[in-house]
Amino acid sequence: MSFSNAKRQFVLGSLAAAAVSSFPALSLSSNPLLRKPIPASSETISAIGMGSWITFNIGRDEYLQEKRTQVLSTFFDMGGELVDSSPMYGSSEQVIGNALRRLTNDDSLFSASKVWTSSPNQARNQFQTSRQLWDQRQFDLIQVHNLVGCENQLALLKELKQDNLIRYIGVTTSHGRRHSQIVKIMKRNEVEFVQFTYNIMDNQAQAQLLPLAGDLGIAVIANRPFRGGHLFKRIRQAPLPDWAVEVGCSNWAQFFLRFVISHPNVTCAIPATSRVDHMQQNMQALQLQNMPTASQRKLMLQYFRKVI
Amino acid sequence: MSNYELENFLLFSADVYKRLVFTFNNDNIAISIAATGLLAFVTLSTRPATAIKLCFAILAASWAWLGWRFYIIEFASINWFATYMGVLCLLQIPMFIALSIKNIELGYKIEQSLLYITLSYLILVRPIILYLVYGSFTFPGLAVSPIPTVLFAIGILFSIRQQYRWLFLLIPISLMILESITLYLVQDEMWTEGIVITALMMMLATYGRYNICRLKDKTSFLPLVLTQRK
Repeated sequence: MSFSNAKRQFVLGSLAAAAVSSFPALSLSSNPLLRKPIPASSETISAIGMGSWITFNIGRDEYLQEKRTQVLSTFFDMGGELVDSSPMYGSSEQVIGNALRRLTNDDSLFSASKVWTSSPNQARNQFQTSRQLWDQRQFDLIQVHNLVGCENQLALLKELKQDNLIRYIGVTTSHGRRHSQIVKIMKRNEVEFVQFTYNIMDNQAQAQLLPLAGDLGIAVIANRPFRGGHLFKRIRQAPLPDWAVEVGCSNWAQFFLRFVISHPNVTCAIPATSRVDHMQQNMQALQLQNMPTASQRKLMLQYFRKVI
Repeated sequence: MSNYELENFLLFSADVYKRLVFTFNNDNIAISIAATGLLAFVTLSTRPATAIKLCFAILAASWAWLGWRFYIIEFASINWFATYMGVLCLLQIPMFIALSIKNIELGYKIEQSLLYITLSYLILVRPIILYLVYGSFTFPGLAVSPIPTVLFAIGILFSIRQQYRWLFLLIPISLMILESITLYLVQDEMWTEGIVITALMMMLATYGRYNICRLKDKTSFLPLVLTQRK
């Protein structure tokens, strides 16, 4: 192949790739997206956020940094807002911060991180480090990670909120652990957000946590909506049901995500991915049209149980 | 509800870990070649007692590089626990320096041979295994990659007769186990290597010592294993 031919093919290929990658964004822009209110303020946020556990922990690798920047850019292009991380996630906060400095489409960012230590002094340091890494003067949400040192850290977070350095306070857990402790904290009315695991397989939160969050007016972030990718392994090559299109799903990622975000008390689900194409699939689940109803959610659950 | 599984404690993806190790090995190949060449040279060109002391000195330098550069600088960027593994590596520096300057009693012939067997494995056999497993040529990675360095450290410690030898073996074996767990979690096909080779070395050393004991006095075998004395 001659140089000019190769160059022409490269340019055409790049244009085609750009067109393909921008298509979902264009198609989404014509459809309304699902936004949910934060009960404490009635501010609304996009119902699909982005987790960064494992996927954004890439160290100082410049090639991978560029890839993750593209993922985050796609997220914002397709209506994403909430980005969740933690000092516990290795280099994730640094990588998110580097990506944010390179992006120009991140105005909608809803920044969510955590404190993860039992020491109040160290928690303060962690918060300052997070601010520097993300390059944020004020965080939208800071959560107590896995309830570590919860009493001390909630006191610190209230202080930071009074100083206008954070907007909302939350607590997190995952893998179905510490639910009774979360319930106690929720009932004390100290937090505006709670984060726990909720997906089509691990749906025990429906029994107590989700109704309680609804009653008390606490926003819910659902982590592990794909159960860390495990759900895709469980369904193997099973086809989607014929009626999947009626609930707005064209692939399993959307099936799982729409099951989670269609719960009336879930504010936001935070799937994690390191790939642009997966981010596009995830964000397409945001379309408001054909959001599953309560009876359709039951059907989705039944079908999932049948195929695993 | 799902509960924690071992893989839930992995902070990074297999791809990112493998890329980090591959890049580090590539960037430090000159150091690895130098360390391997030096170890091979002193082992083949000097008497066993001198060779072993020089090998301990080279290993001390290798652990310094591996602990600081690989664990604390590179691996810790995706895994905070690597800092502790780096400290474990650095703790071995005074230990190996001490062994390189003090008078060392060599083990039985079969124990001494473990030094040569391990080095031969790392230089001649391991690259072939890696080629068969990964489909590409990989340099032994001594002083740059944890498993070959740890295997050489264990091999050389088995080749001497030293009081409280098990104490000296504690850190290399701990590192070997932690590395094997990491490799298992990132689904690396070579995750059993450290365990298998260490087990073979232990079996060989024990078998050799047992045979020697049998020739002398059967009853002295157990105390010999425990104390490492004649």
